[in-house]
Amino acid sequence: MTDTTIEYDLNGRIRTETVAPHSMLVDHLRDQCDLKGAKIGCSRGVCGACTVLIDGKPVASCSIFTFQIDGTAVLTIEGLGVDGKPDPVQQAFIDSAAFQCGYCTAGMILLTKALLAHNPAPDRPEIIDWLSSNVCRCTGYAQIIAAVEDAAQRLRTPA
Amino acid sequence: MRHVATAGYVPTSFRTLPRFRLVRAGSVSEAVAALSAAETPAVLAGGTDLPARFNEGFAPSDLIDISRLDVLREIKVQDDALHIGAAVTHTAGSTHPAVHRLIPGFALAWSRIANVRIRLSATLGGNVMARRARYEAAVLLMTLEARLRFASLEGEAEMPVSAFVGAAPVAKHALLTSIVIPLRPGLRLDYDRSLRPIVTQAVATDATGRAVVVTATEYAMPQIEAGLSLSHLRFADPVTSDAYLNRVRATLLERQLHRLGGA
Repeated sequence: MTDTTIEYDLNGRIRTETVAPHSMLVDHLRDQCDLKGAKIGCSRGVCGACTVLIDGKPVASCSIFTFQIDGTAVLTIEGLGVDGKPDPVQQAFIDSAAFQCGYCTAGMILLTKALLAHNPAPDRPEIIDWLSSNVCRCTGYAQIIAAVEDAAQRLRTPA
Repeated sequence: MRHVATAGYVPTSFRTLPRFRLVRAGSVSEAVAALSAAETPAVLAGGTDLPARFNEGFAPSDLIDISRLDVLREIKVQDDALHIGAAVTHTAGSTHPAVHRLIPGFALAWSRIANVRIRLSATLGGNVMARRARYEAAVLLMTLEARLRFASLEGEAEMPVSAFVGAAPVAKHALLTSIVIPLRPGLRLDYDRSLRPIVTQAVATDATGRAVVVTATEYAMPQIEAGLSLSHLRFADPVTSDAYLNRVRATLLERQLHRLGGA
């Protein structure tokens, strides 16, 4: 039952911590790292509200133990944007009004980052396929899809 | 009536998860030794199913992490069979050139399990070992007459997926290392599912005219049937009648045979 020491990159900063084996990443981020962007929804890896990127891969942080991030780079919504300026994906979500209550938004944006890293020019079926990983209960999918298309366009033609 | 606290409806977090001993295995033999020594072991590979099991009250004494075992992520063709490592993710496996070339219908069906985020982490072995009726890997693998290869302190042993899914007791101290799919000439697979209440059905045919049909529902474990003349199966599904399920089976089979070219 011994704790384990891990070292990882969190939003560009290296951290070394000792964690309990049964610590879940979403709790660690919210309680130990004071990063509240990853939201707890279903707690079984289905809804995607707690999505973070681990080495660029979207992962439900409610469904991964904290010790599993040892040696990886973790990106949360707080790690996006530079000097207070939103990331192009964040700006696209703002401009497309791609949120209502906002609970799913951090997960949707990080999922979009992963999609556009995988394919900078996804077509609509691929966008829908990826977005089906996450749930928006305000049913704002049309705006979210528009935001992903807008973000892809912005990233291909930076200002 | 189910008790709310144990029904799996209330999200579990670090605050309520039971503690366990963590073993980060560096080799298959280390993992097998840890499995053998544990009172109530759990194996962690992709990890996407495990939180749900915790929510349902599962409290392992030991968690054996096999996610660093690269040997379990290999895919190879050997002795007229496709060998897929137990820790191959759905994404890696369904996009692997050998899988596409040898059984494209399986690659396509495998690529549609769950969603993109889960497919990037979840493994074929985990999907089978979870032994949940609504998980699709067992349906596909039973249709292909695949075998599960386990490692334990006693050595290696194989078991047909159909036996694993059925009533056969499963040694909790054995580690699934690979899935072995026999490659028959002309092997083809088609997979389909109905709208809710979900019926999933896979059909495999080969050059000899041999056919296998496997059907599962949201709540009933997969059932296998040789040949294309469907008999009336009893599913014991708590939601949907056998009469309806068998009608859906026939409808799905008609579509599937059309896609398979009237095999």
